[in-house]
Amino acid sequence: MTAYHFTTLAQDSGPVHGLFFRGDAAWDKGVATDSLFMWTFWFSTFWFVLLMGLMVWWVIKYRRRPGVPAPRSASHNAPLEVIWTVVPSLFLGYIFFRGFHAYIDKLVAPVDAIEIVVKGMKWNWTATYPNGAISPETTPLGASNVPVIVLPAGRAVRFKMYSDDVIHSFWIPDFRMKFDVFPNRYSSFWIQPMQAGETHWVFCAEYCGDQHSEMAAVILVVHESEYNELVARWGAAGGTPQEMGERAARKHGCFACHSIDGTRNVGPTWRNAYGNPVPLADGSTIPGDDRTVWDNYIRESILVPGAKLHAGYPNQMNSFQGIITEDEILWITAYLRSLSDHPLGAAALEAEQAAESESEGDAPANGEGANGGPN
Amino acid sequence: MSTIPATHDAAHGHHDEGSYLTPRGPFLSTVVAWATTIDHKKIGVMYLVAVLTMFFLGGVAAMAVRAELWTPNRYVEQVQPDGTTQTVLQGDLLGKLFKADGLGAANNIYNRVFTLHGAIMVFMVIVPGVPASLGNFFLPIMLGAKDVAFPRLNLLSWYIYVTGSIFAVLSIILGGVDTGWTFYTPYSSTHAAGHWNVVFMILGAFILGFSSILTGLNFIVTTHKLRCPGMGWFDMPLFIWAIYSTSIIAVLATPVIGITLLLLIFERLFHVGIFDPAMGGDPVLFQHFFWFYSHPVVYVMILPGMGIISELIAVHCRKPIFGYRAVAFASLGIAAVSFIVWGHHMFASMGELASAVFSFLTFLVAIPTAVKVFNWIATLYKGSIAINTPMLYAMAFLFLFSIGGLTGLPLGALATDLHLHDSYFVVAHFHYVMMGGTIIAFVGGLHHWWPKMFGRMYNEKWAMLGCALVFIGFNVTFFTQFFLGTQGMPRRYASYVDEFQFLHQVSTVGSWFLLLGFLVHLGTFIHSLVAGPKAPPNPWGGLTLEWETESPPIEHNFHHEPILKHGPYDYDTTVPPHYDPADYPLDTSTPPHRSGH
Repeated sequence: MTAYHFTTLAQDSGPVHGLFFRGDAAWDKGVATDSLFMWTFWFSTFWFVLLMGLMVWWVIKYRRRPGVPAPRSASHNAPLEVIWTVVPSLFLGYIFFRGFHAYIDKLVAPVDAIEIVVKGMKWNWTATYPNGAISPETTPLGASNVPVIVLPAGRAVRFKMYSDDVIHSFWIPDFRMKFDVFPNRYSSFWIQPMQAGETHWVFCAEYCGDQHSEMAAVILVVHESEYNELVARWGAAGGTPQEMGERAARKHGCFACHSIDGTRNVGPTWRNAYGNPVPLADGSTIPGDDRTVWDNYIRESILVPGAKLHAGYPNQMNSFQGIITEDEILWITAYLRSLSDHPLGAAALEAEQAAESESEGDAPANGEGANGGPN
Repeated sequence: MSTIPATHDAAHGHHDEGSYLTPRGPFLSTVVAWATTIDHKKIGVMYLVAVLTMFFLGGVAAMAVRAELWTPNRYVEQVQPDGTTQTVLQGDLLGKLFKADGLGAANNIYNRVFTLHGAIMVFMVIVPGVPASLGNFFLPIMLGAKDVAFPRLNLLSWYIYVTGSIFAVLSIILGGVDTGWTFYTPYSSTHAAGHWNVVFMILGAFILGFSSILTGLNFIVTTHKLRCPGMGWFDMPLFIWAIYSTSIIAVLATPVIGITLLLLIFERLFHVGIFDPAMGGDPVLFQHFFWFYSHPVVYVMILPGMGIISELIAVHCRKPIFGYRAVAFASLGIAAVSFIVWGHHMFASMGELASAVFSFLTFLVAIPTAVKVFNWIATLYKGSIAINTPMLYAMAFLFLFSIGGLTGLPLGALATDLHLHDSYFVVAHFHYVMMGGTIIAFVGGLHHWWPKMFGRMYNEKWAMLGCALVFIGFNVTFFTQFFLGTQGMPRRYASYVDEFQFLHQVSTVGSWFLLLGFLVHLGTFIHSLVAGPKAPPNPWGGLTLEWETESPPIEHNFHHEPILKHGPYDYDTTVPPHYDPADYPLDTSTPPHRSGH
């Protein structure tokens, strides 16, 4: 257990921004969010001051004087009413558009993002790295010791999240980002930590019971070389996730119906499946090119096989609900990726894992070397 | 004031029938007469008492929540009397009070208390509050009717309300629930503590729903069928428009929450597996069901408040509401759009397409709301504005509700919502809307109609002091919470990191001023009932029909069925009832404008 010194982010966005936020957002997508927030704030302030100014001015100016009636004045004015309906609508449309744009930027991860699996459970977070490692570090925060999630500076990190019990929500305030974490499917978003040495709070934002307020974590940003070394050191001994996936698939008898060489069997082949669109029996299609969609498709096909039936195949598979573990689903997903030539498949998987094992070895390609030891 | 209160004889030529408050016989038979009454006024007063009782209970819970958050919970090393050092828990005020053992148990008590606060305030105060009390009392009178369309059903609604509340109180006595008022699955269906507590609380909310449906149905029929001769749709006061729109939403949306809560009970008792992921159910389905009701219900909560504000501003400014038809149609527009924006409570749990659609629709619902605020403020222009407690409350409403509405913008926009969702920013936002909107309008309406309901005036200075305290206390309590939210404080937290303590303490101090303000109001009202001067029939100079009858109204509301001769806000052309035209000059220099035409 290490007690970390908590950093404060630079505050360069002005004093009003400083009232609302503890420093600037920790990445450019968060800065875009803050910019929209501040725009909306000044827009709102303008209307609020205008309306309240008129209200107070008129209440004073037209206060009741005994014996003096209210002068007759128009009780409606169609052009005025149309203007004050249409003009704000245009501004609202603008806010909507900017909000949608910045939202998509925060949700859709770049292809080369490192995938970190986040598990929420009452009342703790676990982060599993691509090589299967789990950070053993903790730090005191509030009344509890919370896990430390180490992330590399300058690399895109994609969180793939699920829950062991109830719904949680993974919130990193400094990155202006959160998403709910579910017990029956994966959700995901990405961030890009920028500065080594930064620490960031993570809070559970969806009420989950007694220790909801203690369900926190700390993100520690380190240099990429240090990250690689730490993750390799923590690495699991059981082989790569895809190797464990192959063993799990063998154990559960998946190969009785699914081939891995592209041949047609009782079920669809796993070769070159991951990342590509899937035609379904009901005429719809599972879209390709989306990690979250595919991860959920695999998960659902294992637990509720008939839910999304591949076109041209019978609904013959039994549910593995209660038979297979969450970890095994993750490993099998990695195995399917390793069998696919799709850009999200083997190539991306190997790239992620290579980035991690770099520091163990022999290819100091980025010049940083392996000696940037942890402090 | 230049008005002279008219005497009874000026109002009618009959013998004195006595007001609805006049006791008939000895104490016991009076109690029985009230308990079995089908008079909408008595039922309205009974609702008022019941709702205010629940408001008190919910308020105690709110004060407890703020008190607990004065300090975060921490383990500290403490030297014992015997010289040894021991680690002890500090800062868990409620935990100590209820002798909780350890951090988890202490937090659990906090969780029960905030659930209690939310469930009571939403289901038992804000949803039924205005329509069931002020609506019940004034809807028939403002329409010129003797009663609602189904008086017995009306009494049944009250008993159903009380039954539902008793189930909720029973759940509290059994130890309370820690699910949050939103009852999100799978926590509420599997993990939440206290099996029967949860079932009783949900059952309570389920039963309360029937009260809403029956009251809504009653009001819809009353509005359609019992308007007095001469009153067309666009001659109705805007309070009626608001209650009418509210009733439509309540009748259409409440069955959904009824079914949802029933499914939740089945899930808990019989494990049917509709929301439980372990059985192939989907917990997010519950959120869709829940918000399909609970978002329209946000407008069930706020529309009656908006109706009250329309009356307050018109009467105390002696002006037709600017753009009467726009305000009336905005009520209906809000009612319609409110059904298709529920997804904005779930941006952090839905896919991109659904989120984009719901975000867009959410901005759509902002427009009629903004139009109403513009119309109210435009009404002030060239008015004859009385500065009294109802008018102060109307101004407080415009101030607080505008903040509530405008802070909805960053919550409706997707990128900012993913930061602010489930934070204190949301807590502050909905308190500005629900309390700064509905409760402030309710208290303002109560002051506006108090003389009519109980026949007594209240002390204006003390009431204005109470209003000022509530306004200041409210802003200190809740404006700080916007900053807490943007800085990273999640909602429903029993404890927090050290950095948030200062703002939490400011917020707690604000809650004490808020409490003081409500106590001043309570004292003022009690003083008014005991020793207040007798109220004239039309103390403010209103033009709607309730000001034509006596204060308090006679049992049948009117001696003769009224015939409407002027619009509700025709202050340009009409001397208010019970006013002497000689003392009430009208401006004749320009041609009159008739409202709504």
